[in-house]
Amino acid sequence: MSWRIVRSSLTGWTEPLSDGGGPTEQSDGRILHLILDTEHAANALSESVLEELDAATEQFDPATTDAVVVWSAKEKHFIAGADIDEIDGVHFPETATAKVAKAQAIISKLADTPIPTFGVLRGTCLGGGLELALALDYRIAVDTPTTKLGLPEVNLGIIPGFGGTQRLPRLIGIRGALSLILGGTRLPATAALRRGVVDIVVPEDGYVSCALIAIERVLANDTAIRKRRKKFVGGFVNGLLERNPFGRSMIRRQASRQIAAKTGGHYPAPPAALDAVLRGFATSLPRGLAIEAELIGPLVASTVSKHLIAVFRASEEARKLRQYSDTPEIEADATVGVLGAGVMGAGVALQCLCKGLAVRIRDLQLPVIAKALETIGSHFHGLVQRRRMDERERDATLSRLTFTTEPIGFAHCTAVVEAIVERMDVKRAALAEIEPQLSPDTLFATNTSALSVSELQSSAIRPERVVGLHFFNPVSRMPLVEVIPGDQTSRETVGKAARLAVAMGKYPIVVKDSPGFLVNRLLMPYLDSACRILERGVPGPYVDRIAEAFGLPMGPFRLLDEVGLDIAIEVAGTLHGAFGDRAEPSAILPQLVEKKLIGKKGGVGFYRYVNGTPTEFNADVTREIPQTNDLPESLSVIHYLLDRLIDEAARCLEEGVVASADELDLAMVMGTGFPPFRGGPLRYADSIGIPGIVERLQERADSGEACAPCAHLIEIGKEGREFHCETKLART
Amino acid sequence: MTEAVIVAGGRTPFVRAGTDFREVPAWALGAGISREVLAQSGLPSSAVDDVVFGCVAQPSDTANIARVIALRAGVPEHVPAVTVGRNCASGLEAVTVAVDRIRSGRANLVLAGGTESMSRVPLEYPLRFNWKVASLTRARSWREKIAAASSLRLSDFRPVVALERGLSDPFTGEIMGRTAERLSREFGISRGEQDAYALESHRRATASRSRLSAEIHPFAVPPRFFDLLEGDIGPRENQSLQALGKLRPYFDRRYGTVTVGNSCGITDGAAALLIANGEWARSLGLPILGTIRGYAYRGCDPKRMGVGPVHATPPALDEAGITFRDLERVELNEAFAAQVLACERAFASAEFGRSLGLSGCVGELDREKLNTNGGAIALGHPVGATGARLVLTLCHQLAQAGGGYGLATLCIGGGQGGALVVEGSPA
Repeated sequence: MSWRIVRSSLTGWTEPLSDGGGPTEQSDGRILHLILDTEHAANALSESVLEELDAATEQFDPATTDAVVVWSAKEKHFIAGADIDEIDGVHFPETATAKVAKAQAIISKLADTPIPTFGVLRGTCLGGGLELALALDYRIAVDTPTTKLGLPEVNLGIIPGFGGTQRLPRLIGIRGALSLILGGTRLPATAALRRGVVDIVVPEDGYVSCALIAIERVLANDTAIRKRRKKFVGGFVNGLLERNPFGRSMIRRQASRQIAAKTGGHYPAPPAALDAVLRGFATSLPRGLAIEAELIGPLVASTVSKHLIAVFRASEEARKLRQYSDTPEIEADATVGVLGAGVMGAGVALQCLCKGLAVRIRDLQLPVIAKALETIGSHFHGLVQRRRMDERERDATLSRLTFTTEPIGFAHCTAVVEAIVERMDVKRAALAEIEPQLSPDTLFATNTSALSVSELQSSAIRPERVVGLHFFNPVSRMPLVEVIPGDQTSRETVGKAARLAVAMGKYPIVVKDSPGFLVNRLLMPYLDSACRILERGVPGPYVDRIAEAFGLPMGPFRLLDEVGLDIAIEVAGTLHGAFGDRAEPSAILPQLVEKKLIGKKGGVGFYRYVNGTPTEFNADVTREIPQTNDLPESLSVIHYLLDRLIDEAARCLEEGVVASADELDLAMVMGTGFPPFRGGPLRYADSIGIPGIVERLQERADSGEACAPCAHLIEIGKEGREFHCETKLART
Repeated sequence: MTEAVIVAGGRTPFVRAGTDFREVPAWALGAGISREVLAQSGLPSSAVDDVVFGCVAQPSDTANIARVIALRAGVPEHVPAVTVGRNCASGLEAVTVAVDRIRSGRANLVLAGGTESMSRVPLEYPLRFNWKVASLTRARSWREKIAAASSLRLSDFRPVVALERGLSDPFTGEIMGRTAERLSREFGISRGEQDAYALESHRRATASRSRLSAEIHPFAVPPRFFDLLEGDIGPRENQSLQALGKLRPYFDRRYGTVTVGNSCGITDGAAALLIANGEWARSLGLPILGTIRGYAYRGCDPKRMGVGPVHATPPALDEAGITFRDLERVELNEAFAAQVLACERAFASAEFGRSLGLSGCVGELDREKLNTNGGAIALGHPVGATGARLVLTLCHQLAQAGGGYGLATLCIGGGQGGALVVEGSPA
């Protein structure tokens, strides 16, 4: 049983709920407590949970019951949302619509009962969870850091389906609801109160007694709450905009424009959500619910949603660290040592500070430290100016940062992250200098994109504590971290490094210590293919535009400029050395670097930059290449760019560079911005068909390019398998 | 008796109030340097048994500022913290409280220091203004409100400079500079002597910038950290007798000799020390910067508080079992040049010595051993921090001098002197 249904009163509680405590059963009690406690770690609103709820509504008798109160027995979750596995299992629009309509009917029973209903929302209250709460008469949020309310369905390619698009706008107004639904925003308790999503906020410690007092007061008199709610839907501006069709059409136009600008038309959910809200608002609630159910059907069945769910699942999985459940979490007040205060070092330090960790940063040069401090200080200063942080919090955060030019004071760091220049001898010297003072359980992580962790650790006193942590630039914005165990790295160290990445708000993926690791190794054939298209006389901006239309955050040439051509050439060189002919870089890059054109940081690369924004394509790049008039069509450009990447991905899977196709896809989405709605390169490969990829690569190989498809790819294609079918089977 | 030793220490740059550190709360100065000193010590913050900090003008938002400093510096929650106040010697009081904790066996390791943000001492409104505002907030009806509001007078809004009040003697109401003027008259110290002394303080401080940097940890200037301050900003390379001579007496315009140029500056800064049980520290192989051999506080005439050091030094030397001649270095806080020179004369005066119950004079101060890196006239005097700074500086100086005994002493507003004897370790 997922629900504990207890008839009781507003007194006689044993706390806490999470340990099986709660109200004591009283047969003549006039309050009906519904306490959700599913067998999973987080409560989800699955079909069975809803059916049990349906059965419970039988007991809703106004003659014997004064109030119904919905609680959760989980400490960190009210209801985390609908059951994602169930959504993922639906493949036909009609099935989805029917299932949603059924759930809506059950939730409507809760909404329609004449008995006053309450929800005590503590922990995550997202998606279906919030929608259930919205069907209740009164919402009481508990002010804990884990309390988050929101409707993030659009992030999974669907829309709220349990009445969220209907009840939220009727409660807090159309504009308020749209900003929550379209943005997928998660509100803390106090913000939810401010925006009218909840009626009451109670403090964290002793929340049960506060909530019970609040319920008693509301039962006696709820005029204050009713009056407060009018603020969000009443008033002159709302009358002008929301309560008349002209105003609503204005809202629709404006929101549509914003959606189009943000999604590039690749995501069908936000427009559908807008439609559901606006059409539903103009009619009755039952009709609105029907519209919602109708609109969600095709979305649930769409591949976009399936892909987004797959990426979401993989990302959740990456943070759970199932294989390392025995390694302890990083302590909240842990100190992370950072060696090197350059761009990466400053980025790592800033990210740690943002997540509440303490940082000790070291660089040989005080001016370099000063520059890093400036980056860090202006970040928090900016937050204060934008009112995202108050001054007390800023000062507290900054007081967790210390710095030094000497190699002292790292003894009690939980981890030391080295982010100095990419040279084995320098890194070795840094390790040798700092290691003697480190306590035995301090982790030593090297942030490298090219050097071998095994080689570095061979010189360590305790090689088992050395691990690679490859952050991507800019650290604050790139969610991926590659965790690279060397030959002698202990399992515990790997787990700890991954936990550190999670504590820093990142997604760790464990990859093998081989040249280029995973992401850079996959990026190079893609970037190299782009250069080869250029060699054939296709204009660069044309290629970039096609890549961006495909959904990539920027085209290959913009990306190369961003990374820096000098760095790209270094990585390409490493890979060429390791993988031979197939990784031989095109001649274009070396030519540019020879002319000291190194990309954005130098002002000129493939593009010319003014104050960091590209103005025009650098015509010098293609001066000696005859331009073609016969431009290839978009699809063949995409194929040309991605086929070799997919081939390399197949090799990585076969060599065990990464454990699964899911992790590979996640790494590319999180590490390079590969469009999530395409599910990652391997899901994309599955969707376009492997045999076609093999055939095209073969053709290119025949015409002299060193890109013959690997045996693994050929085999998958021949057997008609897909990269992801095995994992799918494993799940079922 | 258990020995109390200093195992680590550091301070922020000292900065003229109202400039670079005006955005930094006093706790942040203290916490920043404490976290750094803890890190440098190589000891885990959980080894700290107690935290004692001195602060004169405790900001109203951080009552018991030592506790805020402790938690923000990463000291575990179960470790207690206390803020101590002995006016200008609050930082020294923190050190001596720590010494007592160690000597009595109550603690093995104490984080002690001082912090002061003189930039952030607020303006106060006259008390009657507070009463009127209180009755205004209590007023219920419009009539009461209007009546309460109309009782306010323009003069009620005139703020009182709390900093100036804090620097006045609470017993006589006399501002500190006036007590220095009295000493200059009584000891016959001319304006020229004072200015020459002030110039020398600047000369020494600028000449020893690199030596001072050993005790200073750079501090990034908030809010944006655009500047990294590496040293004190008080010492002036281009200070001259001519420039000092142009200044008008500040405290007594007609007959005075004390100017802002020959007095210490109003300053922000913090200093922190880790004071440990000697045996325990040696068993861990910690470096010993200095061993505390004795200390004393003595009261004196509030109107002549400047000669406090002369009162407190003999008993401190007695406890250490040494004589004035054994001192290799003396750090005597430069509140005012007149006051330092008065101390110098009182130290050497047999008459003054007899008034303290001694058989003769306390001793002759050797200028070559006195404030060799310059003093508060050049560096500044963040009142709550200075005591700890003197001890820190003394340790570094003794190390450079190859060990021996040193004295840190200062005069205390309200009529007291404090003195502490350290035995240094060779560098």
